[in-house]
Amino acid sequence: MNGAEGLPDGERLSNLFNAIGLWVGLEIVLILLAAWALIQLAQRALPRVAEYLPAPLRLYTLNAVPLLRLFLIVAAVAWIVPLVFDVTLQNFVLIFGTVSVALGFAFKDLASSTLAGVVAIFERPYRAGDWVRIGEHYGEVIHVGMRAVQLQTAADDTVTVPHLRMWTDNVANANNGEGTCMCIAEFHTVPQDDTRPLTDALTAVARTSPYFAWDRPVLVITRNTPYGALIQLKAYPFELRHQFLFTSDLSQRGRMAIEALGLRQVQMPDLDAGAAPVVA
Amino acid sequence: MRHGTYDWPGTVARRTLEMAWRRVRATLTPDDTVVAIAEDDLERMPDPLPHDEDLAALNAHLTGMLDAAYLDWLADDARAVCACALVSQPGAGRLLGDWAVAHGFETLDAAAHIPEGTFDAGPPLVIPHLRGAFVRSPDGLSGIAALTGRIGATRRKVVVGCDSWPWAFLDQAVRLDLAFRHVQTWPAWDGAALAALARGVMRRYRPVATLRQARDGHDVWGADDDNDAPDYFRDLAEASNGEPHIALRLMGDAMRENPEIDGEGEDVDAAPDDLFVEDWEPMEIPGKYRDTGHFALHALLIHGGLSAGALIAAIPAPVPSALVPALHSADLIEEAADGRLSVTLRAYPSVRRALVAAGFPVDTL
Repeated sequence: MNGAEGLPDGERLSNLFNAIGLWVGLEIVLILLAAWALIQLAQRALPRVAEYLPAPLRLYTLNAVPLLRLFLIVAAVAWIVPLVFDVTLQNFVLIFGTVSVALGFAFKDLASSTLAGVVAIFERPYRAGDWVRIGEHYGEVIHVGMRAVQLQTAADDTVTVPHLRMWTDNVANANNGEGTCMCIAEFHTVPQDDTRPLTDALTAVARTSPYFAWDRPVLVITRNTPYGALIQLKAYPFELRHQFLFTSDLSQRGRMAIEALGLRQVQMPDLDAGAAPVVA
Repeated sequence: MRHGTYDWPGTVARRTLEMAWRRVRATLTPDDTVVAIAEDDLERMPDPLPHDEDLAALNAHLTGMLDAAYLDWLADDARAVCACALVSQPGAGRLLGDWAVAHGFETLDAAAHIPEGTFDAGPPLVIPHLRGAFVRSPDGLSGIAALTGRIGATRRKVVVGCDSWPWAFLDQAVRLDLAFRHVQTWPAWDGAALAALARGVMRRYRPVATLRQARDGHDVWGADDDNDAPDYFRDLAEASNGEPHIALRLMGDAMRENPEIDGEGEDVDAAPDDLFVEDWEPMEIPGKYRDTGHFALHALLIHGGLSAGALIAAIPAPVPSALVPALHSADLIEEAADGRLSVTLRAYPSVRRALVAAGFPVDTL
């Protein structure tokens, strides 16, 4: 039988808390300051160190930030709670129930985003350094916070997406923690032309690119469409951040290779000039 | 030894940790016997090593290894007819070509027009290197692809030499492995082997001199005569990737003499003839041109040398006009008499490390 049963509400509440003197208060402040300082240090120092590392090491270093932050927060809370509360099962249920109701009403979205952030650390749909598409935004994950993730897009915009979106939206991860991602250059040739020689020519285009990762495969995929043959050249750059330059390089030199083979590419007619919308 | 099984001497991480530990240990345990060598007192050698006779002695040793690897097979008509490849780090230079000429084997320039029937039955053929036989562009691979196909169907014994960088590039671009039945590489020279090499060099150069560490004046060979691989040479093996020509060059560049020591009234036990070697530190790519510089140095290693114009064409645009002069003044590249630019031998280990750190695809051995 618990000794708090039958006590008046005020007395029961006073049993919930420990006596907090000056030194305990100071200790709590110091714990909070130390946790905050360590989190700030990790969030600032590790990304800077990561900038000097090759892609695989960079990703590992960046991924350590949210894990470290979560660890520091949990450690600080685990240290502070016994200082403030008289930790018993009954008190725990009382506090947990009260906090849950308060959060449920007042900070539903914040709590959901924070919970999704914790899930994201372990489920890892995105990690710092990954290139992801969430909704219409595609960019590099530069920061995984407790509430939101920040993306740096190719247009140099910083987009903040709440973790909450993870519950409802699909997250497409281009590299999923690896140091490279597939890049695709597309070409359209007229349906009458023989595209078979293109496989070798476009493969050579990819394999001679300065951005190409030598240990990765090259794929040339051809698909028939109503307006011609759609040819996709798929290859991997050795550095994630070169992906747009790599795609440009494949597109430019791939177009030259197609022309060198005497194949014709589908072009949109100049409708303003009165050209008929007919191909070939 | 078989290509792909190269025993890289140590790692950069290990060396960095060892250096850090050595500094900590030196700080914590001051040694009264340390010779105080002021850095300003040390001067570069007027005639830096390696000298021609040092390289000749090294090449004679390596030529013996070539004899052991290929002569029996080439001379024995009953043994399989096929193509073999010898993949070397930059540094081996003209060794395979000179070896072929010395033994009277027919040699072939891969960059020149190769007449029909070259690979029909006949005496052994040596292609010293594949430099100049390709360019890293879709059009530039057709020649090497055709040559590889012909080598793969050869009816005479063929030995082909190739630097490790073009080999790694071509292997993924035109599948070199399909044409060669045996691919070999040189074994790595470890600290003990380099120490033995250095003893020979010192015997020829200054027989009575002691080789000392510039940082503390200690004898490089140590007090223990049985120590056949002193720390300095283990570090040198790692710095040079186990390639002896590069190791000799690094050692020669690091060697200093101290004209202040006259042997009288000194509080040190160094003699006037003694030589000092500084620890190897990686050379830096000029920060302003680091990104483009990486692409330029990568292209130079793959091609084994390019003219300035071809180099600019091989780098993704835009290329700063001052790039080549900057790399030149940093002593990372040099220009041959025919105008071709290439990575200097002393810079090669630093360049390779920089490319590895930047994530570039690198050579394999």
